[in-house]
Amino acid sequence: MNGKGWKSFLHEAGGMGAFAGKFFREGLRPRYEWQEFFRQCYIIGYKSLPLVGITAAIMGMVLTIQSRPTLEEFGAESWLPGMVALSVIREIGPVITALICAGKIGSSIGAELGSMKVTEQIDAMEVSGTNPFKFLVATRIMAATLMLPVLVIIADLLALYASYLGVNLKDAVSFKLYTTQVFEYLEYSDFVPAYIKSYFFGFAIGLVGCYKGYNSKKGTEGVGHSANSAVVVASLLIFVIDLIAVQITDILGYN
Amino acid sequence: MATTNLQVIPENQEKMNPVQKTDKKDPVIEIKDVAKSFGDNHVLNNFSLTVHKGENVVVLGKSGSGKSVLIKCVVGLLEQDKGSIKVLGNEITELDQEELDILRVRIGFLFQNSALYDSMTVRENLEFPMRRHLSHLEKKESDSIVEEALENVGLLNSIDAMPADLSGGMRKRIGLARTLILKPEIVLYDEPTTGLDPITGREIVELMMDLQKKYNTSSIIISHDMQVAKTTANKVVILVEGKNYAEGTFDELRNNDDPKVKQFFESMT
Repeated sequence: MNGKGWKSFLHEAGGMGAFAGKFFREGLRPRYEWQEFFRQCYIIGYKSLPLVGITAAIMGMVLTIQSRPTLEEFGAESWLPGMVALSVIREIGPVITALICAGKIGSSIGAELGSMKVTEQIDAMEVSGTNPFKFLVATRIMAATLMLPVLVIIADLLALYASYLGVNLKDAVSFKLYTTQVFEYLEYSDFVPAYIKSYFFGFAIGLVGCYKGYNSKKGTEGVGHSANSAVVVASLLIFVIDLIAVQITDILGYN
Repeated sequence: MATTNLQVIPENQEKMNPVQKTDKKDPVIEIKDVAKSFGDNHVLNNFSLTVHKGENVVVLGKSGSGKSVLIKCVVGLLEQDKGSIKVLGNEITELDQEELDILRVRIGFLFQNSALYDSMTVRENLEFPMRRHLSHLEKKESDSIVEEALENVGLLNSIDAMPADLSGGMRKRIGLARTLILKPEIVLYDEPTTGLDPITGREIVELMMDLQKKYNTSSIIISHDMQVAKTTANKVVILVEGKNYAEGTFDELRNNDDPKVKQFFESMT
């Protein structure tokens, strides 16, 4: 990265930091826009469910089918449910769900707010005496932060169910035996860090989407750029947060 | 149609800075020596203007001359670098956010492209300004205000339409209805006829005048359309190089010999 690139990166990082600061300073204080918040929860949570669910189920089944031959070589097929469950709960479930949401929600928020910005809808909101930051930004960040963990839990359950189906492609394992084997391997320390980090993933997706859209420039070209960079930056942030989370859980002895 | 005599009194009106009873000669907007720059681009350069109660002032200027910046400063969307803007006795830059929000209830702003909220129906667009300031109203009362506003612009049957389904003229009418729903004392129009065919443009101007008479508003109309100026203006201001270059009635300026002023009127002949 040359000097100009660094300057632009630092400017962007500073802008996003200030935007996050504004969210904690203004966005969490009354007056609350409950109706818009619940509408966003519906859009971000419920409307993302089919995509997240299908992807999670496919990931669960693929992981099971691909892991089987390796475990068979060592005669360790009985480890299959536990191994898949561990991978899904600790890493694949949260990260894949977050990446899908970065694509779906991040781009949608970036494009929607970007389009509202360039067509003066945000200004119209402001002159009508409504704080657009609270109405548009705070509600979306909060909804993304709270809905992502819910989506992760649903994705984990669907991935594990698909894994059960995957196991049964070659073996005949009852659902009860499968779940017993899964829970034999899992501990609370597998669930909790994964669950906590998914809040941070949701926050990052909402924050980046809103920041990019709210600061959109240059007409329709700017809207496209906002949507695109919202996905790229949010995806990158998800991996950075994941890296930090794994270091913290390692230090705390949860790995 | 539901006509209503309901007096719309926004919540917190009593908190607003001194709602002085303005008489006909009182200034409702006082702009003094306002300067605004974007980098090296000096858009407004010691611009001054006074708008009195009930007066329609048309600001003429070339594209990019800072007309829209001027009214965005008036409503507090942009902050001037220098100078003073008083609206209904309130110095805009001295108001905190809450006071500014309360004052904005008394100012309507019609955006160039109407700025209707795409994700909301026409009804929801009109209800939006009311949800904050008239939230004490019963559903029946707010429905009746929305219906009256739509009937005023002749689009009651579009109440459940989405903005994407409306033509440019219809969007402008709905924008006007939304702007006037809180019965503001001042209305700022940003290029009200831009992008419309001449017939629809004339209809919008007639509508603006009808509603101005009905609600007794004062207004600043930003335009480069001379027909708008001719039809609506009590006073015309010509904005050149960020300054109030010339000011007077439409006829006074049309007969002015200054070459820069003449340029604007030549297009009419």
